[in-house]
Amino acid sequence: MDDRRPSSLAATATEGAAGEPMVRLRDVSKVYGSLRRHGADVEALKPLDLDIATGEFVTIVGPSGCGKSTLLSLIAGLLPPTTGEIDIGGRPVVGPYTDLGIVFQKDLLLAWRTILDNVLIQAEVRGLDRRRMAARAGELLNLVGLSGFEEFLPHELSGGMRQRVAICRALLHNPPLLLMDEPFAALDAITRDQLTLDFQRFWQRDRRTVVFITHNLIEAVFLGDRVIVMTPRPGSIAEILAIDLARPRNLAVRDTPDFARYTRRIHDIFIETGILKAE
Amino acid sequence: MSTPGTDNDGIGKMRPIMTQSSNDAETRAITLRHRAPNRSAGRGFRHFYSIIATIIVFLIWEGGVRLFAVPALILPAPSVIFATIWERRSLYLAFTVPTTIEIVLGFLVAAVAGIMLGILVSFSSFARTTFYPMLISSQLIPKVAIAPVFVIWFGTGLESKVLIAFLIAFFPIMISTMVGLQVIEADMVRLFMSMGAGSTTTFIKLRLPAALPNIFAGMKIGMTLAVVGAIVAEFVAADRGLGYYLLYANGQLDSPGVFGALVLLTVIGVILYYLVEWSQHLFMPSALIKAADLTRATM
Repeated sequence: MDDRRPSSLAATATEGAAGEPMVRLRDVSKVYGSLRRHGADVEALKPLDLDIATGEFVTIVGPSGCGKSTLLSLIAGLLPPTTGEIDIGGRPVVGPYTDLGIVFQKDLLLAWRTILDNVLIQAEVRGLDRRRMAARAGELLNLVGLSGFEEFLPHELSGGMRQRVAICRALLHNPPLLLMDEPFAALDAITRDQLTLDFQRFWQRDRRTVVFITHNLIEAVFLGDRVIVMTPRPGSIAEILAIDLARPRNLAVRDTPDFARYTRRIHDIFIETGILKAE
Repeated sequence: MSTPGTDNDGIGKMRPIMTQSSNDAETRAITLRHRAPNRSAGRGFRHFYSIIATIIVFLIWEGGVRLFAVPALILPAPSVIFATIWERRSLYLAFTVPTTIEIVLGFLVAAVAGIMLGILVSFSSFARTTFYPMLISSQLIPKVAIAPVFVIWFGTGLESKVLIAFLIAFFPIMISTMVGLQVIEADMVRLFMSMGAGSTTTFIKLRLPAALPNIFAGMKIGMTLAVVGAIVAEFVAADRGLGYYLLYANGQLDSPGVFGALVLLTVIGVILYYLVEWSQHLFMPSALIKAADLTRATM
């Protein structure tokens, strides 16, 4: 298990550690075989290369069905790529890669476990010391503003609170890499803004490597160090934007010309690739 | 101040970053809702109402029988039924015990076998292709029709009755176990895979607990069916038990005796049903059971 102090992660924030990327994809593609007997295979991802530096916040934005969730599953080793190789921290990914945390669109909390026990499922499955991890779980819940809710059951919490719990669960074992698959997409707009803001601040504490998938381009620009814009299916990288906006970014930054420049560019890419039809 | 051995990731002494104030209103509302006077008083009233309703039904029954002078052979009044039970209490007690044992044993075997078979059929494609069609067919044979065969095979004792009660009760338990094991979302399984969970861990920590509400629903149905099974078995061949006494009293045109047995059977069934429902609390958090209470659906 990786027990690096976050301070050392923060020190190597935006530059890759010793020039080595944390996540490295080479020539990675995915073709799904058709479920029907004579159906055509579905090409979800065209071969693509991608490096993600240690401590980098990468957002991937694209329309539904562009293969961005497939990309995330490939990185997590939950799907085998059709071609190409994926390395994380220099080790090739074969089979489910476990030295990471994942947050999905649904919070996926276990209804029969208390909030604390839901966070601790991570420790139980990994066979980590429960008592030490219980202390850490309490601290994480406190950080996301949920102290006092440890003994509640998931159905007693709102959607936003439940997703905060899911984030705590993903980070309990202090993984060097966090994968997020449209984590705020199921929330209402106000809660979504709040979680986006809060999560940025949360991330700035230790600047863990994050791969964040969204179909919301404002969210993508707001959170990302780099935004990877995808083409429609079969997915490939249309363009990568480096977002040069000072952190912490507040909601007002979304009304600045700089911010608008980035979103305008993504709009243009969407129009060029036919995702949006120009009026 | 850093204590050695702890705080290895530096989050120890920090203040909340995802602000409490940000979701304060949300938090407070939920806390308040949680602390609102719970409905325990209301639940007491629920039992109160059901008792009152039962008494009213009996009163109407009693009044109707007296008003229209219905002969006891057609429909005995509740007062007559209860008087009969009291008069023959030692006989009824002697017949209640074996029937209860048959029901409970039949149900227990059905619960164990139903859950095991449900798990087996869910996870083994071999079992699914070989045993499962056989298990379905076994349900299409009328149990009443094969009961005499069991008597030939296993005699008129306890075994044939337990077997028939089991055969009738296990099927809904097996099916509900299978349904329960399938309700897991695909992403949930992916989440467990990313934690490094093997199929055994996923089964124990995820699939089985998630299936429990369904398994208990199946067991409640199974419990009521075990009562039917035991009575059917006693109808076919028995020398004791409430089912046996039902037939006997019926042959004597002793309607109060028949109704006395029916009342006792109902009481046994209701008690056993609520025992199954109560036993959920041994396996699931009470708040969750309450949240999923079928009898509290709201529009």
